[in-house]
Amino acid sequence: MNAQTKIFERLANDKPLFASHQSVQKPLDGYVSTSSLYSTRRAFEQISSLSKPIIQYNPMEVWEQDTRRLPRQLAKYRREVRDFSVQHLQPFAQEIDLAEHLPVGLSHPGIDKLLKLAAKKGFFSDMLPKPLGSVPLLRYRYPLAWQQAIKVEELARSCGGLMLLLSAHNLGIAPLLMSGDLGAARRFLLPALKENNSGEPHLFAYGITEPAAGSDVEEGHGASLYKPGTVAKRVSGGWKITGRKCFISGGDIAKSMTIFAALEGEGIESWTCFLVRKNMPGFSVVRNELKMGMRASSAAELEFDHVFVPDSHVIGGLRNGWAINRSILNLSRLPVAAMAVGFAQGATDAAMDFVCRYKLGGKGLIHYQETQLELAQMVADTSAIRSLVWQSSQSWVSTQGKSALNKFYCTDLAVKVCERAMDMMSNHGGLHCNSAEKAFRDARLTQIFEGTNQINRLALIEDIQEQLMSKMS
Amino acid sequence: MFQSLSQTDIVSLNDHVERFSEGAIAPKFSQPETLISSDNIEQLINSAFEQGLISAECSEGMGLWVTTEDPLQIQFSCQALRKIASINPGIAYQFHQLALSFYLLRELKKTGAMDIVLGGEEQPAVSLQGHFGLARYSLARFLKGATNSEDYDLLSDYFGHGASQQSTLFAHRSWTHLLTPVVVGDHSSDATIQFEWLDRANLIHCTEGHGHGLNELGHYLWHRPSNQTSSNSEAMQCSTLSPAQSRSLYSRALQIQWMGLSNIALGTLEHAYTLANDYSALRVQGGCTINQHAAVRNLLMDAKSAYSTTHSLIELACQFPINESSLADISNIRMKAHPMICQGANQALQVFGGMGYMQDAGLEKVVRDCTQLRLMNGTPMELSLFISELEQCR
Repeated sequence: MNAQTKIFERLANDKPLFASHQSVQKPLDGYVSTSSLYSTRRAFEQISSLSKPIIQYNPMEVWEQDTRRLPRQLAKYRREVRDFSVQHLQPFAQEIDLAEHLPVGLSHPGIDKLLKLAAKKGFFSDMLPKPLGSVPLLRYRYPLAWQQAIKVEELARSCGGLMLLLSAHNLGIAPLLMSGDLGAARRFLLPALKENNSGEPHLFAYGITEPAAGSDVEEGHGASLYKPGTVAKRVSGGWKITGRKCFISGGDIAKSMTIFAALEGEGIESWTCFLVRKNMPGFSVVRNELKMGMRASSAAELEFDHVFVPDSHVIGGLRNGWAINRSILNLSRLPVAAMAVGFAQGATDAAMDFVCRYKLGGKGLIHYQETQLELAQMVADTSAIRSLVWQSSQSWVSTQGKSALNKFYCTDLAVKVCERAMDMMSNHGGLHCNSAEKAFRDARLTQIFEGTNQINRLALIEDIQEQLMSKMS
Repeated sequence: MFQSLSQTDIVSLNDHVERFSEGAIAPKFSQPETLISSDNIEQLINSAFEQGLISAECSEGMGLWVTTEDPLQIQFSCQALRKIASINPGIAYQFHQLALSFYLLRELKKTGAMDIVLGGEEQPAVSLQGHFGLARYSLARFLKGATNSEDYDLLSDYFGHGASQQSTLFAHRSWTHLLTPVVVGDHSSDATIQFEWLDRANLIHCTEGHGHGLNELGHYLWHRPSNQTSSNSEAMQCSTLSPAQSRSLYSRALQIQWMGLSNIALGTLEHAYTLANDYSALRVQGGCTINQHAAVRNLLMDAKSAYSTTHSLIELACQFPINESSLADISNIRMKAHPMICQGANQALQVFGGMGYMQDAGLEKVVRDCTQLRLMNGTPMELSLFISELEQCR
């Protein structure tokens, strides 16, 4: 019996989740009751048992249906993350989004508590299998990108800012993994993972963006022309780093940072990744930005004033930083697409709750056809981008084109889903308490970071450049 | 009596608004990431009264929305709101709402209420919209005088303002009274819209919440107390208006509201385009200023084209008086223009890259304000239903 047949069989044997409700409730306007002979629910009961494994009415929630289609280990993981997200992020999301913007060095007590919980849960060590990291060996059969996509979607569905707070760390440790520098991984990563596994957060941040370089650090052509602003000067026993990095997610709370700097007198081709500790003399967090959304996570400006970094803190070797950065962008853009799926799902869920609850003219908005049409579009768009992300993340190899197309396509569509959710709530769509406007503000960042969607479109073309050029010859 | 304006008057009035906007309003909004204080807004409102921009009387052509009959005056109101919105949409919306309140009070001939307001102790707010959307097809049928009993039920609910029918309101925190419509009549007769003058302290249950945009103003969800219905409230009913007159007044008020919202959004977009265009000429990426890249040019052109198209449509609408004949055109303009404006504002933000997401750049506020304005008094989908019904009733 192949895997697909097994899934069909499993679904066929499942009992409907809403059986008792459906039989007594009045149908939506314009539809027959599910007890009617005209309904697919009744009609499909009559079909041949040979056809039942492939044709059926399934009243199960879409989320549950999707989860059951995942391999067992990933389905389990999805349920675990959903539980965590609903229990710890959802109740805190509105409050932290509206919380006062605190000066550098101060953090909301709820944030500290959540970080500890997430560390204990293994969210800060889930890039590696047990016993080094927190991933069960059986789950590690599946690509990291798929695991991360499942995780960030569920977290983003509850709150973009808290999701980013818990996810930016993985970007920070990525150079230690992608550089292939086992010595650096042993020196810096394993002790940090140990701390995290014990419930004491040791967060990393990833620093590439500079005040004068946003897109230029995301694509080759711009990089080749850019004069680096963060520079490492050779000194006895190490390097002194000078310059600034901006919009660094979690930069203010990270204990360690993987910072990219050019070697003095050279361009970005000399980029080198350095491990910087927050207590190194000369390092400071200049400010945390006031943002449109994702407010629970900081975007910090970091200053390096002749920060001495010993040779042992060079990650992956001198002048290998550009390659490390480009490889990480291939890995990090898929999770951004998955975040977008989470925002779209959060907005869809919020709109669904609203239209089922809110009444106009004595009946729920969901009874009106225009509402049904909009909701159907939102469910379809969300489902489409999730399918794309899951399909694309089923390979261990992330190509630039695939990652980029996921990023720009999913994030653009997710923002539209959020706008549609607000419109469905009409004059109530702008109210914070209805969640859709927050999903929109959070989702809007995904069109910008990890390369603007314009840069990502060009990244796709760069990836198929040889194919295109072959057609020209 | 209202004195008609000439083109020369318009030029001079626009200059006046320009000076007022740049001299009095702009200095208070120099930091987009910092919310202006309530006192500062109050000062600006008082200045707008002193300058005649908000006027209780209709004898001076200077005031916003002093008449809906003179196309030049309509043009002036639109231009003034755009100018003010290009500095701050929230204050433009507040001026617009006050002007709309006075328009309604004048049309209802409620000089008593007007005197109280002008005495300086009372502050009006207006909530034209029922509790959700545009009441599907029923409001359009009502405005066309073609209601059926189903419409009466739906409109009664729409304008009911009970605990389960909370309406939204954006107004400066100092408001004391609310001018709001209510439906009277029964299934067997023509429904009429009356306007009530409700005392905030005694009649309204209000909760203030956080909203997506227009953060200078208070965001309210309001409804009547459970023991209070429209029939036993201290209502100021437009009993002198026949059903046809009441339809006409509500139609004009709705169109003023839509014109106001569209122009405020347009002025906001104009500001965003200017910021994005200026930034693109300075920011260097890829070895040249970003305005040399087709990707950025496309974004800029989306914003510019949204502005130009909407501007042309509005200018066209300003050629005619606002009355029942203009209802379909003005609702159409709003339906088509607002999604374009929001898209244009989003593209302007995108030009800024990461900087656009930060509050101190000012772009994210533009996007939020434009989106907020799109959600008020009928979203594009609701306007589509509304207009389709106007067509059916022809």
